Amino acid sequence: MSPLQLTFLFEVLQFNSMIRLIDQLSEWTGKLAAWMFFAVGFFVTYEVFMRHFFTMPTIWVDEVSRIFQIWATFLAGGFALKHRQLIVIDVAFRDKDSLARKCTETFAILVILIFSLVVVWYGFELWYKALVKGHTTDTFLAPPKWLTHGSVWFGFALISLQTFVEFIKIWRKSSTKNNLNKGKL
Amino acid sequence: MEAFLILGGLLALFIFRVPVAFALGGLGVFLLWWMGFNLNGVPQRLYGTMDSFELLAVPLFLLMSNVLLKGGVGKDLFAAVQSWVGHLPGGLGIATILSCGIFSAISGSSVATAATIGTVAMPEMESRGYERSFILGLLAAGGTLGIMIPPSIPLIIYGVVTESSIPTLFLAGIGPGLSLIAVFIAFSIYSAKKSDFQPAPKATLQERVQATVMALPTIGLAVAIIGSIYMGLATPSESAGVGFILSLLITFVMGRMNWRIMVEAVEDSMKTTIMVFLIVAGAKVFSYAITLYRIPQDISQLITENISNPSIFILVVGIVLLFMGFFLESLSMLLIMVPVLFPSLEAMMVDPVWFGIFFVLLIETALITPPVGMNLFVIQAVGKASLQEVVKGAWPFSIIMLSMAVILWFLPQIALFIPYNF
Repeated sequence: MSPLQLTFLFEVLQFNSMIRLIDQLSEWTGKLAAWMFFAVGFFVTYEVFMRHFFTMPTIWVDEVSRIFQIWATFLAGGFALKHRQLIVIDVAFRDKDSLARKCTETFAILVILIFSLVVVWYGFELWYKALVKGHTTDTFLAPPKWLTHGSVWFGFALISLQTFVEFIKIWRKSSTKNNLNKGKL
Repeated sequence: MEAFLILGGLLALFIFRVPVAFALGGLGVFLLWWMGFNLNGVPQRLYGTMDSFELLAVPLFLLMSNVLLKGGVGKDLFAAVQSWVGHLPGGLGIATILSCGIFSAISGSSVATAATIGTVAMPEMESRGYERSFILGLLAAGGTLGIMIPPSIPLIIYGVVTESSIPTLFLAGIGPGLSLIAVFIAFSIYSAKKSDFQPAPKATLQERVQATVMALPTIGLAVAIIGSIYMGLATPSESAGVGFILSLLITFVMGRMNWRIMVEAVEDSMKTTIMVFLIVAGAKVFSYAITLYRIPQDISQLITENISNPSIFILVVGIVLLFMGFFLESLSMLLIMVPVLFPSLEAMMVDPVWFGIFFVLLIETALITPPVGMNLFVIQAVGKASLQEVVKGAWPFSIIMLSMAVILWFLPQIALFIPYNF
C-alpha cells in the first residue's frame, strides 16, 4: 500500500470514528434525558407527599424539576434526530431509495442545521452574558442562570453535530432507513 | 397576503419532509431575519417554553402510560369490562369502547390507547365473527378518546399555549368524552345487530369478580388522577408524577415489571416527549415571528370585520381545521392554528375553554381521516390490515364525531357544565 493510500485509509478510519463518536454522544445524552424525566417523577411525588402528610412543601422541587425538564429536552435533540423520532408529514417523496427523496432529506437536514446554528450562536451569547454578569433566577434557590441557559446552545450544538452524521448517512446508504413517526398523539 | 405566503412556505417545508418542529422554528427564524428583527429572542423563546411546570405533565403522563402499557394492564382492563358486558348484543364492541375510555383516563394519548386496547380486543372480536373493517374502525375511533378524556396531552398543550386553566380544560373534556363513548356504544350495538357475530358466553359472578379485582388498581389509578385534580389536591403535573410512581408500584407488585421493561418504558416515553416538546418549542419561535408580523392580529381583524356571527366563525374554523386535518397531524394543527385563532375568540365571544374542547374534537376526527390520520396507521399496524380496510371502518365514526362537534356548538353545556358548576 502506498503512503497516499495509507493516508486515505487513515482519514477514512478517523472519519468513521468521528461519526461513531457523535452517534454515541447523541445516544448517551438521550438516555441521560430519559432518566432525568424519570427522576422528576420522584421529585414531584416527594413534593406532594411532603405537602400533604407533613405540611412541609419544598422550595426546590418546582425549580429543579423545571431545570431538569429544560436540560433533558435539549439534550435529547440529537438522539431524536439520530433515531428520526421527529414528526414528518409523509405525503410526498415516499420512495425511500429515490434520488428525489435523498435530495429532500438533505434539504431537511440543511434547514435543521441552519436553525440549530442560529440557536447555538445567539444561545451562547445569552449564556455568556448570564455567566459574566452573574445573573441568577429570582426564586428562593436562585441558581445561576448560566446553568439553565447553557442547555439551549449545548443541546442545539449536539443537534448540529448530528446533522453532519445524518447527512453522511443519507448519501452513504443505498437505502435510507425510515422509521419516521407521523405524529404520536 | 403575507399570511398566505407564510402558510404556503410552511406547507412547502412540510412537503419537502422537513420535520415539523424544525419547519416551524426554521421558518420563524427566517421571518425574523427577513424583517430585520433581532434573533436574540429565539433562544429565549426556546428556553422560556420549556421552563414550565405545567408542561411537566406531558413527560410524566407519558411515563405512567408507558409503564402501564409495558406492564400489560390493557389485557386486565379489557377482560374485566368484557366479563360484564361481553355477552350483550355488540358486547365486545361495548367492552372495547369502555376499555378505551378507561385507559384514556390514565394515558392522555390516543396512540397508546389504540395500541394497548387494539392488541387485546382485535383477536377476541375477530374470533367472535365481528366484521373486520368494523373492528378496525372501532379501535381507531376508540383510541381517539385518549385525547378528549382527561388527562389529555393536547389539552395540556392548549392550556400552556393559551394560558388557560388545565384542570378546567380537563373537566370540560369529561362531558364530550362520555357523550362520545355513549354514541360509539350505541353505534356498536346497531352495527352488531346487522352482522353475524357470536355473543361471548356470559361470565359467572366469580369470573367477573376475579377479572374486576385484577383491573381494580388501574381503574383506581384513573379515579385517583382525575379525583386529585378535580378536588384541588394536586396540579395536573403533580398528579401525573404521583400516578407514574403508583403505576410503577402497581406493576412491580403484580410481578409485571423488571429492570428491562422499566428501561424500555422510560426510553419510549422520552422519545415521545422529545417529539412533542421540540414541536412545542419550534411552534413558539414561529408564533413569536408571526406575532411580530401581526398575523394573528390581522386575521382577527379580518374575521371581526367580515364575520359578525359567532356561528359562522365556528363553521369557518371547523371547515379549515377539517381540511388541515387531512394533511397535518394533531399537534402541529393545534400549535399552528391556536395562536392565530385565539385573539379572535374574545371578539366573537367564544369561551376559550369551550373552544379548546371543540378544537380537540376536530383533532380527534383528524386522527381517523386519511391520508395523515395517525390512529389509522396505528390500527393498520396492530391489525396487519390495509389502510383502505381501516378507513372503511373508520368513516362512520368520523361522521359521528363531526356530528358531536355540531351538537357541542348548539349545546355548549355538554363541555361547560362540569367545570363551571362543580
